[in-house]
Amino acid sequence: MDRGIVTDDIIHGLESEWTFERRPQFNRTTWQWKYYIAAETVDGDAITIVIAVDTWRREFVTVTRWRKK
Amino acid sequence: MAKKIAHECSAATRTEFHATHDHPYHFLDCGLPNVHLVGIRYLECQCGDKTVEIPAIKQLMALIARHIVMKRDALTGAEIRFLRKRLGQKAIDFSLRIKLQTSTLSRVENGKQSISEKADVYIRIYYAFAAKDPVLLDALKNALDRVLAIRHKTKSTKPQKTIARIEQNQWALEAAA
Repeated sequence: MDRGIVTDDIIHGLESEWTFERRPQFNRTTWQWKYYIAAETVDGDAITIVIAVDTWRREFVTVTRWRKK
Repeated sequence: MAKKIAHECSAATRTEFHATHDHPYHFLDCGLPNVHLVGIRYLECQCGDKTVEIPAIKQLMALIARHIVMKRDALTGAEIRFLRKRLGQKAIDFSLRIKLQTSTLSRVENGKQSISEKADVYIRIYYAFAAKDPVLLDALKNALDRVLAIRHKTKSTKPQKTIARIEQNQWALEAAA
């Protein structure tokens, strides 16, 4: 996660209204789908939550970055 | 200057660890500097990136908040920010509710100013009610019962008048005469 973003910002972002920032991408090397979600932190700042879904291990990884509105 | 090579972290570049009491996982992403997790699994990549698997994250966050509200020491700025974010409130809304100026709250959250004991208690009580945490509400009720029990033991003098005054179609209680 980028500096300043905390877990509750992600929870808030995913529980509030969000949109896809761009089309999901599939990485053939890692066999992973990546979903890019445009959301906001608790304080209303724009963030991108990247959710990488590992279909083999049945896990997902969340990476979050600040985004310019 | 050595340039950091960007790469895609994968199973080949990552090592799995189990967080134990001796080697806990430092949960900095929660927004607090002093939370360590035990019993979970995390992966550390050669590049330094860490990926952690945290089950029941909302329950964990609520538990940390409960611990903060119940602790005996004064609240720190980071803890106040944590409680605010837990409630999902912007600084401007939270400051209005806890009767602090937004600029003051910002300084408090950034550790540049401390708050009074009264404000500290008020934030804890406000959080307990706003979060509707049953454990915190129960603790508040018990604390109130204890205060009232002490009051009841003291000899009461003549009961004070309770005066309610209506102004602009709104009732308000006045201090006893």
